[in-house]
Amino acid sequence: MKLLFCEECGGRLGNTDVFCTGCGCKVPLEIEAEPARASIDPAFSGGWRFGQILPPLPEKTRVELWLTNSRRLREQLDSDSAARVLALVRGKTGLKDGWAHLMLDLVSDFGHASPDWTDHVAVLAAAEDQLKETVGKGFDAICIVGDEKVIPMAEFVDLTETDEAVESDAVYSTMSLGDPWKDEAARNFERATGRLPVGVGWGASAFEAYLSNADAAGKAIFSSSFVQGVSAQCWSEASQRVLQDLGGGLVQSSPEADHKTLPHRWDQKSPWQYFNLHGAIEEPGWYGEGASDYPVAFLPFLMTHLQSLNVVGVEACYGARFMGLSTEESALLSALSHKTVAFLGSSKIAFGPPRPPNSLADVMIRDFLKHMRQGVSAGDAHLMARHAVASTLDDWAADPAMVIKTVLSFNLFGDPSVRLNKPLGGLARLIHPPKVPLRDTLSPVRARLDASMTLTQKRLQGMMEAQYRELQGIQPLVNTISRTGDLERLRWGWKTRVGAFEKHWFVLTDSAGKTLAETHSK
Amino acid sequence: MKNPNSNSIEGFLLYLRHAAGSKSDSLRPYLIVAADAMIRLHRKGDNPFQEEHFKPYEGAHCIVEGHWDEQAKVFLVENIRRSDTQLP
Repeated sequence: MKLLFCEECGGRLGNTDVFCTGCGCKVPLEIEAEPARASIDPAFSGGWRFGQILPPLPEKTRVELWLTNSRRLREQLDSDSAARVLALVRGKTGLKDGWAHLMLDLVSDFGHASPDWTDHVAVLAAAEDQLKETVGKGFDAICIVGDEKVIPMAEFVDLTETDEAVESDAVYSTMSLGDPWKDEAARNFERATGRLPVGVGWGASAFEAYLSNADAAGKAIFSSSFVQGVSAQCWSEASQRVLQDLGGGLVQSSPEADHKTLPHRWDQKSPWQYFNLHGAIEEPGWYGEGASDYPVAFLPFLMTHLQSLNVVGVEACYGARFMGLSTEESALLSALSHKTVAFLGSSKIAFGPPRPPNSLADVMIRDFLKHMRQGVSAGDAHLMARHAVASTLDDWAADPAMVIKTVLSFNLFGDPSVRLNKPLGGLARLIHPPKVPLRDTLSPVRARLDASMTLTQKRLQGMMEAQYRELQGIQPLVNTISRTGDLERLRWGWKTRVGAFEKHWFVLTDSAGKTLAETHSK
Repeated sequence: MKNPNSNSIEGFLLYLRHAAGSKSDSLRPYLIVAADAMIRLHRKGDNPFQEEHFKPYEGAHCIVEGHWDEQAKVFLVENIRRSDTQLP
């Protein structure tokens, strides 16, 4: 219970006193900033599963489930630390900021058993059904509290054959027991999911500090709104395109920058941090790449240089490695221990093109940062990014195995309901910013280019249809091929199915539309 | 002092393409221990994309000492030396 004292005489006040009984002074009314009911109401912390009544949830309230297992937490931490984590989670429950935060401690479901991820999904699905019966809503977001030993990650075989298995929290988003490589329902991502990996490598104090940062993130004022990027030189064109799509920003390229020089060149105040570097399972660093040179571009401790509350999106292979590691060995754990409130990265080997158009890991991180910059919560931004990558599954240019591995391996770390206050930069801070008409010099050039592309396409389409009847009405896809020192070339591709076989035709032209070569699939 | 969990393995050391087509696409050192079996090697603390330590042994029959890292699926090498075994 909160103790109240009179501001005039310092005498003790009762909770309902309107006047001080000591000096007769009027007690100012205490008005709560928001009707928050963060509480330890047992209905929120698991009681809803056993018939305890939740208050009616306002129409637009979303439901976030805080999921943990206190027995497993105690095995990872000492008893006091585990109790502290549980108390903090319990303190999060209640109605706040448009969310109903519920808690589920799986200790009563599993006891001493060693359940795998399928057991967890089955229990969660049943718990969600109970909630739907009670309040007519399911889980919009699930925040997993614990590392993989507390709440397991699913493991799937890797059909790209670049890793033996892919670890993923995607199953808590789909609630499907199916195989995502085969079963479309197992790729139906519906719930925003994030993990706070409390365990040996990231303890109760780090968890408590994180919750405090996450609470502050929605209200923080940021001095910078640009995205800061660090990229391996070999991917700098792809990285630059990602940043263009994010409204601009600075890309530091490695080898030019490395872990020693980066702190002097890097915008450490930016709340949006983007990394497109190499990563490895054996070592903690991230690496650049130049001409057969792979310098160490980034080390986990550099995350502690970030000066603002921030969001990190990393494309590196094993960028989100954390299992069995400490904050010195894992950039993810180092970031979450400092000022990072949401971290999206891959558990395994990742894929992306060296040059635009962006795909796979580029799209995953680009869309995540883009939606978060628009004020969307981390979990929803991750969900939208997953959908964007998954929607490329049927693209001709996409390798389905790489697409599926990307949507599985990029896991969110952080509270999925966390959001960063939308930064307002420059004139946007003003209520009525002055409008300056800008001359549009780009559109006429682009229109002329589009017209010449359309003419080339029509000419090529006519030529191919005259030679190959099966291509009637099939539009080509065009890709730009540009190598340093070469003029830009265009690859036009047609695809159709002939019996059981898929056939491809390609025509290579220069930028003026002159045909250079024609090739077919075998 | 020798690590009590150390094992030694013999084989031919070659740099082979690893994770082709991915963001980890690079040449990595492997020990070819049988016609159909090879083990990826790494020395703790070295740059996994360069692995300079093994370059002098490329193409040689070697004996490596170290231990298997199950999570990384890589043999962490503590010592390496050329063996006297000749190619058949």
